[in-house]
Amino acid sequence: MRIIIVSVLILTGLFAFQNRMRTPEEVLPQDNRNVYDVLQSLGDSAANHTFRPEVKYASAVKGEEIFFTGNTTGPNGTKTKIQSKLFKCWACHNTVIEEPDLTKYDPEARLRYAKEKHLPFLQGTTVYGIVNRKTFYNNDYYKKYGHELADKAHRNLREAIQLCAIGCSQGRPLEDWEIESVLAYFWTLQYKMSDLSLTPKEKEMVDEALRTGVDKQQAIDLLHSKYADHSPAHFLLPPADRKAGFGLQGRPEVGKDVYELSCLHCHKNGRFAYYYLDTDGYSLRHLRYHFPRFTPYSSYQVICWGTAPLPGKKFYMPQYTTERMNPQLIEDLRAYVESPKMAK
Amino acid sequence: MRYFYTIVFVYCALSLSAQGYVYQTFKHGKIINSQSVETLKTWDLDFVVAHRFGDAFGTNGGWNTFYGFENASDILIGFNYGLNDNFQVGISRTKGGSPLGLDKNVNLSFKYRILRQKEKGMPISLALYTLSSISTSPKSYNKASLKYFDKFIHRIVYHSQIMIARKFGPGFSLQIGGGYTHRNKAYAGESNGILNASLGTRIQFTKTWGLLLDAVVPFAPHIELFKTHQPSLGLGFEVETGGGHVFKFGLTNSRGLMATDFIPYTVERFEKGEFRLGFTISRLFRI
Repeated sequence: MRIIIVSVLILTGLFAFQNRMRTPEEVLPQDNRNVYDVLQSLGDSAANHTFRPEVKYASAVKGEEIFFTGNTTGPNGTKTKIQSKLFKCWACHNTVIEEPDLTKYDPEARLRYAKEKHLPFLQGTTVYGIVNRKTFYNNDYYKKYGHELADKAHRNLREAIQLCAIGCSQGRPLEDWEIESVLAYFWTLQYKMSDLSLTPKEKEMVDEALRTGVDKQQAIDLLHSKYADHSPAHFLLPPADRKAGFGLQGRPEVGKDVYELSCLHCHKNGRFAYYYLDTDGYSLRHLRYHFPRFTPYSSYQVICWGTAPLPGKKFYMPQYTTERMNPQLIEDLRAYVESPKMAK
Repeated sequence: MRYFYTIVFVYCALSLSAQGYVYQTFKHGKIINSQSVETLKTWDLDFVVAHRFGDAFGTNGGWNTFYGFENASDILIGFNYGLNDNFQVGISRTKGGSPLGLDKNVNLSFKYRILRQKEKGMPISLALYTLSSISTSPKSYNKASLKYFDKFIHRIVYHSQIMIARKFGPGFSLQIGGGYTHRNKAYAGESNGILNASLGTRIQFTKTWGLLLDAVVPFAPHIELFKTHQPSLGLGFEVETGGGHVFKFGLTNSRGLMATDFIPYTVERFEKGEFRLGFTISRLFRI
């Protein structure tokens, strides 16, 4: 009996000792190197929107304030005039990764990702990684702003920020130091190496190119292939027959996510709109009534074309491109508002 | 600091429901006669035009006046401006509805929302409203007239009230309130100060259409309710026409549009046909 007890005690002790010695599951350290810095080290061409520290008063902190609150402390120590009384940047743009795959713009995948990460589902592309992109206001945006404005902003992030300030946001032009501050803030949101889906072999290849200087172009191409260098933007036309719609089967449970993560982001509590929406029956019935009609409240109408920007008169709703909300998601939204079970 | 606004952003994004304020307890700052707890949002300018026609029936109504449409008992043109989400100022000019009261009034008002109902938490909204009406009418030389202005301050009437409201659901809101009106000059035998109690409600039919009801009851030593004075009753509809515009129309026995006018001087009786149609056009701008 004594032998059994001693044996059990020894075994218990060994077991406890072994667990104490066991290291926790190994976690590889995150690679927090900036993708842009790595590319520069490999000899990639420089962006034309690097931060200019010689611009007085510009800082990332001020840029962040402008992004979230619309103003900041100016050079004279007082608060600047609000950039826009209608919008703040975050009304349309996230500041975190919003796509599960950085190489593609799939709105349905993005919606699932947004739901999982509790993110809004917005018309504008996230500003996370914006400094890693090469072009802005792509594809069909010239139809909205004209070639003169859109082309200027297309390859110039500073001009793109300004166009957003005066066009999309219906606000005042930003001064140079304010643009530089917003840009500085965007640089704090640039891609890290850990954001890219690099396999250990690919990572080793990049590190090898950095160490030895061999196959640098291959490493550059590899890194560029891991994220999209622009956000495509193709405008969508509403269906010709609004009663029939796009001819797709709507999924009300997906439409509920569109409604809550997208529509309510601006319309709940009139946050960025005078047209208030909520999950109550009044809102959904109103949307249901107007969806298939040729009225200003038709969701087909406002999703595809937005509403007219009339400064000082009413909020303007920016449209969705097909990359931000495709016909399937619009039909899903319609299915949700028309669903008697889901729509009270 | 770097992450402060990111955290704020995520918090705001997550606060789509549950923790937010209740909005649109009423769709406008005024129900029919009485003020509501609603204040304008920051930078919102509300341009208001309101009109009260003459008596629909009764001695002064009927076919002769096309049921009151050919008379205007009171007209208001004015502005309210939101200095922040809970505080607004207003200025307006009213014709002056009651023949017993002052006319050609310039009205200055302030409304401050102290408490705001939340989806979870604060169960009510509470607001304070103050109004000063200054008559710009020429001085009368009839010493028995209210417009015999001995002093400038005799032109001024003040009103203050507190409103408490709750939105019980998307379809129903209820408000109660109490206030005090002070006339610097009153008729002989009348008290300068008048207390009042008010009740108002909104019943929503659809997203854009709602039914409004309100009642304001005056109390003062010289007032015998339903005999010398009548409560101000209002029944109407409001239509939200989109883009921040609200159009209201309704029936009321009160002639005056401002509290300094209808609280002391409402003598018209609903049952005698001494009610009138009124409408209010409200247009929002953001400046």
